[in-house]
Amino acid sequence: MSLQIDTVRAAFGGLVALDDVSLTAEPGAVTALIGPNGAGKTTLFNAISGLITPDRGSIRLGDVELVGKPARHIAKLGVIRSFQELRLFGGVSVYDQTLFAAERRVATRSRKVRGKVDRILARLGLSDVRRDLAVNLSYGQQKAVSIARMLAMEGRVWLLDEQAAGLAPREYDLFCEVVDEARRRGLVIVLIEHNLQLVRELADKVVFLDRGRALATGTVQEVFGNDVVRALYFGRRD
Amino acid sequence: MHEFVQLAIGGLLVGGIYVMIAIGMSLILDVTGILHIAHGANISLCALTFTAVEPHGFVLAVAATLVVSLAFTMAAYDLLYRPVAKRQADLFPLFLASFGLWIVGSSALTLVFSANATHPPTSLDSTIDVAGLHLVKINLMAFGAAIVCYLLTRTFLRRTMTGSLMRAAACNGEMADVWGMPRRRAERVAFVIAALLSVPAGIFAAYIFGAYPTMGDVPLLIAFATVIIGGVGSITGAAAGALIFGVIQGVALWQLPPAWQEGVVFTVFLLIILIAPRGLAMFGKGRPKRAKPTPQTSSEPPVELVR
Amino acid sequence: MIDYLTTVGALTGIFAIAAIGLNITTGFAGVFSAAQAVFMGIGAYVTALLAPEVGGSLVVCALAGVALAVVVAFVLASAALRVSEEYFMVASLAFQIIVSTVLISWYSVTKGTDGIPGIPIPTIMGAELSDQAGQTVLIWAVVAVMVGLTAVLRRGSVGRLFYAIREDPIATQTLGRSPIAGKYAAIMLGAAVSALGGVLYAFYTGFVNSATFDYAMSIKLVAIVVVGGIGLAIGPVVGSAVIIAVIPLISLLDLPSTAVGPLQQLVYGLLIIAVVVLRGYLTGGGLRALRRRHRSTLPSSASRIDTERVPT
Repeated sequence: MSLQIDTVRAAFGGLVALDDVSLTAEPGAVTALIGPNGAGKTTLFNAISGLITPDRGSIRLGDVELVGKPARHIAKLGVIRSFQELRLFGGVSVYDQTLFAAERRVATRSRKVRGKVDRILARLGLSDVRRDLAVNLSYGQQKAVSIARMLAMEGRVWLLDEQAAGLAPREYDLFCEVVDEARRRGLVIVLIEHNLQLVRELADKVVFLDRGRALATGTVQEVFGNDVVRALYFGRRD
Repeated sequence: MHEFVQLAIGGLLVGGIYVMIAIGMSLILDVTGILHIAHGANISLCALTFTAVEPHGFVLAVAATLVVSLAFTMAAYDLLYRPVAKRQADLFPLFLASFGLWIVGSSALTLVFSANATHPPTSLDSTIDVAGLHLVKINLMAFGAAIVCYLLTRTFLRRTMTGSLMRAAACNGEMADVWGMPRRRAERVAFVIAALLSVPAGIFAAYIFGAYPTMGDVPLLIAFATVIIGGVGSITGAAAGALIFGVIQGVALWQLPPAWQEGVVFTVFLLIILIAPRGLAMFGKGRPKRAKPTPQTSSEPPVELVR
Repeated sequence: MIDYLTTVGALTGIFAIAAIGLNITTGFAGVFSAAQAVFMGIGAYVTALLAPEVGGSLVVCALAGVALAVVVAFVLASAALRVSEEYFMVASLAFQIIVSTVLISWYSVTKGTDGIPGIPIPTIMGAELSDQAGQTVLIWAVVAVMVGLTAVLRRGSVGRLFYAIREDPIATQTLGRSPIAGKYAAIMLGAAVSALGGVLYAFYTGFVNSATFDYAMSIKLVAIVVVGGIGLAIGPVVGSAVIIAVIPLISLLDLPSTAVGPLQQLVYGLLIIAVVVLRGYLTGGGLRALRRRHRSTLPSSASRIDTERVPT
């Protein structure tokens, strides 16, 4: 079930953050969004996850239109996201917030869910800090908690906003493994990245955004080789 | 019917006081995200200071009120809100701090000043008749002052660099940051304007309601209600809301005893937010168009304080 | 002396129960209510009016008081949650003033400031609790149950939802849960517990009037919750002990009676500010600041986090 974004536009006052953006992200593939700061990458995530309503355009998961749905319905449909600023529940323990993400509603049968949370925390190397408050963790651990919440939600689409930035080498490798596993499970994965090394390693498809427009779409080689992209993003013309 | 119109117009004029408070509150809330509820104590402080100094000369009294208002408000910002905001990122501690300051302020005033309302003497509490309506001169002046204050603030926001910076910060704090604008200055100016506006508000309130230590509380709450009703981010909405509440408060006297007045005003407030949660702006053209957050994300504060 | 201690003990317990309600709403779910005295007042007035009719049955009065408080809380939440949560404080203050107005002015029912005396002795399953010591034991039994229940609530799925809302409503939504539903629950649950405190208050003092449940009482409850430690299950009990202990200390100062009330308020206000400021130095805030400094040394885009927020 693919995620199709069709001529989505969003403006704040006079500033056009998304200018008729169209792209499709396929299941079992990693789609990377690259582009300079302020290009509209995070705004696009906000539009997909329902935190803002675009002025026009359509965002569909399979046949289901997402535009106009409240954020929590979109999340319940399996479109889940992380935030660049993580938005962890700082005063809540690692275990409790992962458990919260795993619970679909207040009365969830807990033993199965708790087992799942235990496995997820073990996978991400968080078992030792499960009782710690998120705010007291290292930066890399906080990012792992963000991923843990996404794993706990399961879901069909992952929107990852700079999740690899600032990770130590071991954490970075683990992140790549987890994303790769999710891809093999057939999830739609969209990630925003500034680390082009990671994009080369992971991305099946790259979309270059600049000032709200999708200027180039294609494989890593195609987009990185694109003259416009090279001029705008890499700041050189050769 | 004549009595109804009389009460409505009387309320409209008194609404001028709420306009002056509401504009200041609206600016602080928009630019900093702080619900500066301690401002209620500042209104009382202004009115009491003015009444106490007034026998020694009107100009001296105004100057003293100005000094006191600026001192209290800027102390609240620099000595309380900023240190708290520096260490705790979310807005909740700021609410608590403001709430605490409000309680400290009004109880300290109650300890120092008499609980009875004192009116500074004036010859302007007589009425003039316009088209068969009795209008109190001082209330007319309050209304006039409110219009002047509104126009001055609006001009300031539109015509000056600092004003544009404040509007940018209010509209989208992130953008102001991205453009490298000094948010701290915008915040400080918002507090200064609120302090300046509470000088005329406090003085007219002293003449019209009489000065007593908790007098600022209800006007402040009305001003907050109007900021919400008027639509966050719009001083015009806040001013219009303030006048509407003045009228409601006046009209409440028509069939009900005065004791019910405040109850009626706030019942209307709760009814309005029940019917029109996004404020009166949703009936008009309202605020500048932007991709609107879905209703539930309105729990996000409009702007966060710089850390 | 024993009587005095029992009275202080009983009042500490009653205010602890009322504050436990506020702690659920404000401490767990982060919805700041400045009208909690209203719910306490509803419990107390229902008891004052109903107890003589039902032979002082504690259970009947408690059920009725709690039910009415929950209904009123639902109405308040319906209006106040239409706007965002910072404004809940404004809406709740407005609500406090409306209810105070009604309590003062609807003389035929509430008897205004004159109040309703002669509330009968409470009975539980036919047994009369005639002495103060017995009632104090009852009150503290309720305190124990409420602390236990809130501790369980805190650790359960409802508690996780409340904490998520308090910490970050946006993230709560993107995890597929409704902040609004959680807030309704927190407000109604808090109202129910505070109303129970009001029921016990009316039975213990045997008298209610409009002045008791004004906004000074709401402020006192906020002070109790903040001083005891926001969001701790045992916090309201500690806070209540501190705040109730402040009152006799102030009366020791031998001040004119008009100064006692404002001085209490002044102390409450200062305590709230002190706790907020100190909390910043002692807990999360300080650590967070340290960590941010540490984080900015990372060779990454982490330092951009503060500037690039939703929506860009």
